Amino acid sequence: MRVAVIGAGVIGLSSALCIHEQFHGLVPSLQLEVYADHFTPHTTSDGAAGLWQPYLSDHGNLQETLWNKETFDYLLGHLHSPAAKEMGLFLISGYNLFTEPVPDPSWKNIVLGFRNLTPKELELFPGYSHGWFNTALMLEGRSYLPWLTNRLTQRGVKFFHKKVESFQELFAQGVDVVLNCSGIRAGALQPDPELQPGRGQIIKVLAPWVKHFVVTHDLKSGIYNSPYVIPGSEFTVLGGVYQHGNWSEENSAKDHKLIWDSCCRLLPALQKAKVVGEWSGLRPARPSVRLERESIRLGNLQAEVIHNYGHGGFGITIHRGCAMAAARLFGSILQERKQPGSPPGPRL
Amino acid sequence: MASLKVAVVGAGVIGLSTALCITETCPNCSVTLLSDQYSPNTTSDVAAGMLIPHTYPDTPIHRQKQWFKETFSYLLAISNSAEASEAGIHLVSGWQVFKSTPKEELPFWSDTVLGFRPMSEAELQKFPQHRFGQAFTTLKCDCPPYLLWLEKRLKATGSQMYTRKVTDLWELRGEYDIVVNCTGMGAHQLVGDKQLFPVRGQVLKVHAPWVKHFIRDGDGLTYIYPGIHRVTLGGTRERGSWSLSPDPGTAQDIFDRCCSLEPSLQGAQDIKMKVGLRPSRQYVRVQREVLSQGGVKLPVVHNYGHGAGGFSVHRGTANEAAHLVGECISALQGSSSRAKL
Repeated sequence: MRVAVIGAGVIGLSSALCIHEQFHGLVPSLQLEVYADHFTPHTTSDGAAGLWQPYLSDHGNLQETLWNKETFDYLLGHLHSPAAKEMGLFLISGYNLFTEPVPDPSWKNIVLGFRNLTPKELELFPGYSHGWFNTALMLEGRSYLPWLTNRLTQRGVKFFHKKVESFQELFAQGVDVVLNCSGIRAGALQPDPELQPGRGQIIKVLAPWVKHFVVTHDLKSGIYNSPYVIPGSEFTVLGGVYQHGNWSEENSAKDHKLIWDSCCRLLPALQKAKVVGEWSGLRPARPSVRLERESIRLGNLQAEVIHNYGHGGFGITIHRGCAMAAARLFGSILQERKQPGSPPGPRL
Repeated sequence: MASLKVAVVGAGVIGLSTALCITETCPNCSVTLLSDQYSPNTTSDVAAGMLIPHTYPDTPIHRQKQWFKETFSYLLAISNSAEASEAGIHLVSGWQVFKSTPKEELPFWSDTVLGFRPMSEAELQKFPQHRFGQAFTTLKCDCPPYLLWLEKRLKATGSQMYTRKVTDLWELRGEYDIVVNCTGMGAHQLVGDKQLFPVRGQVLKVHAPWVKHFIRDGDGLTYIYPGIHRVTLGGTRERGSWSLSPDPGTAQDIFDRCCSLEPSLQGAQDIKMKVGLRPSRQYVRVQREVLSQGGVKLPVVHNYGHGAGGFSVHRGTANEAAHLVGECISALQGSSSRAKL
C-alpha cells in the first residue's frame, strides 16, 4: 500500500510520522513517500517563530481547540525527554497585551499559569490597559522539521524533491492514498476559494536579553497586525504583519520599518538589537482547517485523498492534533478496504 | 571652600554603585575609586546577579524591604530603556520550588517582584520532587556588563578610578577627606572585622540558550539563572571556606542537581567553573565611623557584608551610604566653620 504525502512542512511531516507510527506494524506493505518542492529550511513552518499559541478566539470551532490541546499536551510530555533539545522544544513565558478588555481565550486552561497582568506589569507597556501572562511552549521549526525528517528517514520513509501538479499524477503511478498537506499552495491541486494567504513578515534579531514573548493585539486591525516579539534559542523574532490576500513573498521595506519601529516602541531595549535576517511567508489561512477525506473516482478506481491544510498562523500550535486526526482518517480507509491488519470491523 | 575628596575603596557592585550615588547626592565632591580588582575579577562577576533577596538575620526587615524596593525600581527602569542591553539588566520569570511547604509562604519581597503567586498543580508537575512553589518575575544583573556600565557612568561624572591595593584606611588620610569602605570580603583584613566571614559559592556558567526561566530550590542551594549569554548553575554555601579554586567534584554535583530540576541542561555546552566568596555578616554594615589617631580624624562610611544578597539590595545600600557621606560632609563643614571663629 503506497501512501504519498504532499508537503514537507510541519503538517506533512507530522502527519507522515503519525501514520507510520500507528500503521507500519499493522500494514506490512505500507510504503510512505513525501513529495515536496520545498524542504526545511525553506518551508513556511521554518519561518514561523514557533510559539505555541492559538488565535484569541476559536470562533466556536471546538474541534480546533481540542487539536490545539492535544498538541500542547503531547509537546509538554516531551519536555523532559532527551529529544527536547533536538526537537527545538522548550518552555517560554510571556505577555499578551490589549488596549481594551477581552474575554479569556479558549486556551487559558491548556497553557500553564494563565493569569491577568497586575497594574505594575501593565506599567511596563504604556498604551496597553489589559493583558495576560502565561507559560507556553516554543517549538522551533528549524529544529523540529529536521527532527521529524530524521525520525521518518530512520523508518524508511522516502523523500522526493518534486512539485506535484495533480493528485491524478500520483494515483497514475500506483499511489493508493494521498495526504494533501500542501499548505498555501493547496489551491493549485484543487481550487479552494476559502484558502487565502495571510502574508507575514518578520525581522530576525540578536537580543538574547529578551526572555519573554510579548504579543500585542489590536482588535480593530486583526490578529498579528500588531507588534510581537518572540525570543528563540538563537535569535529573537520581531513581527506584526498579517495581510490577507497578499501573495508577495518579497520583503517589504515599508513593513520592515513598521515592524522595527513598533517593536522598539514596545520594548525600548530592542533599539540595540542587531538585525541578522528578514523573511516573509504566507500563512495558509482558511475559515477553518480542512481536515477530511475525499474519494476521487478515477475510471473504475476509487482513490482516496486526506486533506490536511489551512492552518493559518497556528500550524505549529495545532499540528499534532491534526496529524492524529489524519491518521484516524487513514485508519478508516484501511478498514473500508479490509486490509490485513486493519482495525477489525464487526464480525459477521 | 575646596571641594571635598571622597575615596571609595572597592570596585564590585557595591563600590561602583556607592561611588555613583555619591556623585549624584554630593555633586561638589570629587570621588575617586580605588581597588585592587576590577571586573571581571571581582566577587560580583561570579554572582548571577538575581534580584531575589537574602534575609539578613539582624537587619530590620523594613530596612531590607526598602533597600530591595529601591534597587528593583531603579533596575526596572533601566531594563525598560534603550540602555538595558549595555547595562546587562533584563526581566526573567520562573519558579522557586520547595520539597516541603515553607513556614513563611509570603516572603517580605513578594509584593516588590512582579506577578508573585503560588504555582498551580499543573506547574508543579514539572517538579515531581517538590510539593510547593512560587512563580514570579524578577530582574537579573548580568556581570560583567553591569559593572562595566557602572564604571562607564562613573567615568562620565569625571571621577577617577585607580588600581591600588589599600592595606590600611589610614594611608588615605592625607589624600582624601572621607573614605568609603566597600571592600566586601576584603574588610576582614582591612578593618579587622571578625564578624565578617566567607560563604564560599561555586557555580557553573554554561551555554544553554533555550533555558528562559529561572528555577530555584527554596533551600537556596540549587538554582538555575539564565543570563544574557550564559546560564548560571549553582551552587554551594560553604561557610568559613576561603578557597577560590573550583572543585571538579563539586561541579559535577551542582550539574547533577540542576539537571534533576531541568533535564534539558544535559545538553548544555561550554561549561565553565567559577568560585566567589560571599562577604557574609549577620547584618549589612552600612555605618558611619570616625577613625581617630593622635588627634587626627578620618571620617569613614562602611558599606559591606552583603553576603548572598549584594545585587538585590545594592542600590538601596548605596543610597544609604551616600546619605551617610552627606552627613560626614556636613559634620566636616560644621567643624571647619567652627574652626574659623
